[in-house]
Amino acid sequence: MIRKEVTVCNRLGLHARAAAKLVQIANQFQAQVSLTTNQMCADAKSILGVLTLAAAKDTPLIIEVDGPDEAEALSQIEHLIQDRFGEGE
Amino acid sequence: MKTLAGQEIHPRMSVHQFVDLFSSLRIHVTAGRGGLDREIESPRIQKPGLALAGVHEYIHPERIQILGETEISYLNRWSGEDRLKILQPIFERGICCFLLTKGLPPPEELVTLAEGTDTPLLTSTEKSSLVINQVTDVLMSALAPVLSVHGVLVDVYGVGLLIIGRGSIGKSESALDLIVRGHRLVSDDVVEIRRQADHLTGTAPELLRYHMELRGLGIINIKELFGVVATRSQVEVELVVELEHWQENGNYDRLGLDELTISILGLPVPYLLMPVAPGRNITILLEVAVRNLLLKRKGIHSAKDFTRRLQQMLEANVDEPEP
Repeated sequence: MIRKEVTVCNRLGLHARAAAKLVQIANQFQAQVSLTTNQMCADAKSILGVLTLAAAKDTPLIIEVDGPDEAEALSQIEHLIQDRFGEGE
Repeated sequence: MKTLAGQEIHPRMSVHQFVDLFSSLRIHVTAGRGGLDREIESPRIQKPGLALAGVHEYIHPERIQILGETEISYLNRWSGEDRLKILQPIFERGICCFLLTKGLPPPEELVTLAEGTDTPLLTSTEKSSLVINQVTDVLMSALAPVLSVHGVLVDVYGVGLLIIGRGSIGKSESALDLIVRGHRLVSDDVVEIRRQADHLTGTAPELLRYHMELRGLGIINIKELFGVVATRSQVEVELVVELEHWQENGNYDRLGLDELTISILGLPVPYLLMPVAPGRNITILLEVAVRNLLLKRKGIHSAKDFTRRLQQMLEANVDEPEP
């Protein structure tokens, strides 16, 4: 299992469409992916869980990935968040 | 024993939040407003009688210090100068807040020290006994640790059934099936479990309440779609079923004699591992699992009864003479 802390950096935070992108990526992997804020923990493969995190801009997120393709999964999710979900702001 | 995975959160409460929560006790801030962001870390209260008598090592600064008629009468026996000497070392311990009951007028020195050290001094018009009961009761639940887990919580025949398992195993679909069959949804996807004494109460996070997500349909509102009887705001978590893809060499329980449990916030809860495969109607299996749990509680244990009868038959066969 690998884990990494990433900060949500897009202006709108983890809103509905951004969450949908994240969940879509997480679902491409076999590994289990979970996201944790200091308030709660959610399965990154389920849209409701990710939305319930209500992670605004600057929220630190701990990504935990466990499975055969964990390294690639972590790298893609981290890239998506740091790329501001492709929103440019 | 297996432990239910999840994120454990210890809720915090500032004095400010405490005052807002107890508007029913008519609590007012009399002095020390500068310290309203101090945190109350313990649900227990303390009456600082010993500390007033000069013994300070047993004081718990993280607990609300209740000053009732006894404490105030004792303080009023002393001169102003002595009161200051008595109270000063207590304030130096960094008390989260003082709560003066019965609408008693606070001695001047108490107010001065509260202001000087930014220690909130709260007052209530209610009697100490009532204040202590209500404060302890509410703080016990507000400060109880919360475990946030992935899973679906459904009330099945009044029993809180927590369905866990990997993503896309069909937890939500099973829950929807249960709802259609008349059971009630508490939470889909994220369940918050609180422990109070020997009980585990499960609820949905505020934002999520009564919503579900189903692949292909998106987010739906169960309360609007199925009506108020299809949902429930909280239920006691009494059974955990883990769904997993059928494994050829999986070690599944065939007898039902071993009663497995899973630990949730330190409490054991009955646990079943259930394989999912084509042709297995998970909803019916879940319903029967709950019926069986209820039956066991009534003292009827199907698996044990069966093996007892088998045992009797084996013994009878041994006694029969050889032909």
